[in-house]
Amino acid sequence: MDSQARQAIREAAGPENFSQSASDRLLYSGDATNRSRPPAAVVRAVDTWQVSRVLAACSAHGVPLTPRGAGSGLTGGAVPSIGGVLLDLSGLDRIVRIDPADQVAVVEPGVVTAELAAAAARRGMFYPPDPASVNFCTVGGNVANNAGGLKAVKYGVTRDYVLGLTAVLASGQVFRTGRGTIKTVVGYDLTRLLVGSEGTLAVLTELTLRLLPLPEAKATVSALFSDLDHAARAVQDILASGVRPTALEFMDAASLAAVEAYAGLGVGGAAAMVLTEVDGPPEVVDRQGGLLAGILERAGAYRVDRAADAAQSEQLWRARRAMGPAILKVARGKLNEDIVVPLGSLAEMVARIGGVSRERGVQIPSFGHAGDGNLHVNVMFDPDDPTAEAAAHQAVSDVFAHCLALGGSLSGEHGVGLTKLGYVGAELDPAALRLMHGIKRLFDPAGILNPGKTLPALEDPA
Amino acid sequence: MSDAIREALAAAAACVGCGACMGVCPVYRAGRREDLVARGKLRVLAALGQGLSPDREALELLGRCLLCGRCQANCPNLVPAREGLLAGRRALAEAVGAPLVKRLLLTRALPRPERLDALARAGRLAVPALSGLHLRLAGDLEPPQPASRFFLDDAPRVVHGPKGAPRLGLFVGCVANYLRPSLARRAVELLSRRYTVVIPKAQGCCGLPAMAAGLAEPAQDLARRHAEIFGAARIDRLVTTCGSCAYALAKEAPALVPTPGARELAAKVVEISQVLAEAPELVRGLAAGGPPVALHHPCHLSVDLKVTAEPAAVLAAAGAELAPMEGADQCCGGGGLFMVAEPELSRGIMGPRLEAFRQSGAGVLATSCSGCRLQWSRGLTGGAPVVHPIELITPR
Repeated sequence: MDSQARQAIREAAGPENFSQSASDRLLYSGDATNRSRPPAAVVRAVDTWQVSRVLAACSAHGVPLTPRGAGSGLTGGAVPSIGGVLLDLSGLDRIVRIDPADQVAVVEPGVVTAELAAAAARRGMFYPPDPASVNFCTVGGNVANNAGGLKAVKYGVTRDYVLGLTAVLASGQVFRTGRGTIKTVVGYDLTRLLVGSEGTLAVLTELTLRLLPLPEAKATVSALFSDLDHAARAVQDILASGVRPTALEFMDAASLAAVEAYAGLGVGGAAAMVLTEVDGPPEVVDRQGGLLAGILERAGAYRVDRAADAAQSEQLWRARRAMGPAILKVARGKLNEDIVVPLGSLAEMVARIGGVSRERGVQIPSFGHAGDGNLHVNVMFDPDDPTAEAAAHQAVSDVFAHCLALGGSLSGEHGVGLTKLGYVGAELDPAALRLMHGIKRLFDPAGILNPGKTLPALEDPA
Repeated sequence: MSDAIREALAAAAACVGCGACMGVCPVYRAGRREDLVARGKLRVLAALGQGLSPDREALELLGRCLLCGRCQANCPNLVPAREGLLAGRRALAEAVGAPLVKRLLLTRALPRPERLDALARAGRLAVPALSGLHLRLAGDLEPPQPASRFFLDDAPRVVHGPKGAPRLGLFVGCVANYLRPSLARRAVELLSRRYTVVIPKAQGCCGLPAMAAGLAEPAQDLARRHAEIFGAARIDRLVTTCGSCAYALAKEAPALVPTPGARELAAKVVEISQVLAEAPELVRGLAAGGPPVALHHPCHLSVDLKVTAEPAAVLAAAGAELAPMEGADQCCGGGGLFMVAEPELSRGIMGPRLEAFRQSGAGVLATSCSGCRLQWSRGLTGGAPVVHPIELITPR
């Protein structure tokens, strides 16, 4: 960044919101991946018009800009990988309005997802998307990455709750998409295009989100299986039963062994665990909890537990929640992927992951959102052993190849960012990718917005 | 490489940067900046290990922590973030010879010498230099007046309970000793109904302010001294009226001085509400009356020592009227040195607590920590009294 650019961006941001100190550049250099690079400058967003001025200045001087919420992403999306300006949006954290009559919330992008959910709950309303990082990730980051979560099987993903956006183009042009209505079919759906665009098309500065009424009660049922195919059949049977669970989680033998070694919950030796939850009026969830327990038993579970209250429910969730730290005890290095396969291919995918694990000699505990066909595949390695690390990367390539062969997708909820960039070319139709590049040029002609991410380069740039 | 540097860098290396600490850190939630949270501080510690110069900004950044311990209590990967930060402060104190405590005294106290003068005029420079009180009072707009006689000046060495009663050591702590001797006297009065209370005169500060400032040596001296004098006193348990003292004595002292004596003493530490909750008949019906009481749970007591039910149980047994307060277990933003060094953030954290107190309808705030007590006293400007729960219990 030359001194003219520096001067212009500093002035646009307001000097008090602009920093080039060594500490700030370091602090905003990374996200929840192990990738990092210090930006040339950190700008703290204060409102839409300031963001607009900063983007205009960046465009005028050809300085790249990386937007960042909480920096809790898992693909390097918020890493300023080619330097430039890091725009910290976490301070834009105002909940503008929660409207139970319209069933919408209007919020700034830096609001923490759990705080939005809590504010909605105080008005008897429900914001369902709950990625694992719900207590610290921001809604803006969720929208930019189209985050999923545990409840997606019933309630869908972040995209399903975004009704409208205020966004800023690379040029500094501020625009709105969508309305605060549940439906609209007027014009191209730019709102849905921006959801999941990973900060490469525009910077989001205000979000209009859909809310639902808060469910009254929930019931939790968990089951252990000695046969993976039986667990897969239980998942299939639940999805076909007419009972729509709010969560339908799966843990494989390797992850259960890790949890057992870590927390000793009596789940070791099982081939799979299925954990499911329903919500609704108490008399309905009571009946549905019974139905789910019956399905799990008939599918061949050797142990089924049904929670009678919130404390017991939390007990059943313990194995699932202990997963993160438990697998880090397997090895310190982890490549964390989140493939998604067609619902009918879940058991086949888990079996193939087992095969890759044996062939490459790496441990791959897998667990995830079975109800969505979404698996968190954790390829473990010793970071001090270069051979092990290379084998881990090979294993990821193998898993991705199997996933695509089964008709799956390389990411269900984390996004592409930097870490998956080298792989997604294999999934995307070349003509579709060409269109995506055209869209990118239209939104961001100078290519300053979060460059080098999300879209792989065209093999034949015509 | 010193032990402190090794410990700090090990914590930094164990952090995978997931960000879970952001969801629980009171300082981050008040300021929403990466430098305020454990993840950011560990990143800076790692960079210091790799040669980043420990400039003023880096030092200040490492100071912006309440030491409440929520980051490590909630870390999915069990990273000892607070212990790493404390080790980092010790390492910096070794490396640059400008420990935080000195810097704080220089930048905060010296421009306003009248704060220390107030102590001097009162003839109270006898307060040991290592008492955290110096720092706290230096940052206060209106320093509380030290008592005219300190508790330990006049306290008996032993107050005998019934024949054959178990022996409790009383750890007085600086606030009770210098500012509020009546609190220590109340503790003795209540405890001696059932226990023999031993009060060694040579006891001092719990060492937490020194630990927090990266001053390992004086903190170690204090830990050794306490292990020795309370070891000689042949006590069954060591009772404090302050959650922060309890945490320092139970958790940090044995880590700094890993001797059998220090560990043995650490295992005996309890806050007075734990003792009284075991024997509710000691306080039954002794509540002083007055307006409803809101109870605030100090971080060091609730997060570190998992003591939350006991103070409420004691007040309930005494017959006090408790007013439920939202976020009673959330940090008040005191944090010892923090409220002095970062007054703005400290007030930002306190804001929602004051609002919750107003909403509760209580007329009194009770808390079992001397740091929280000072913070609440500064915050509750409307005149609602701030007390230790046992000050609401009047032995008859």
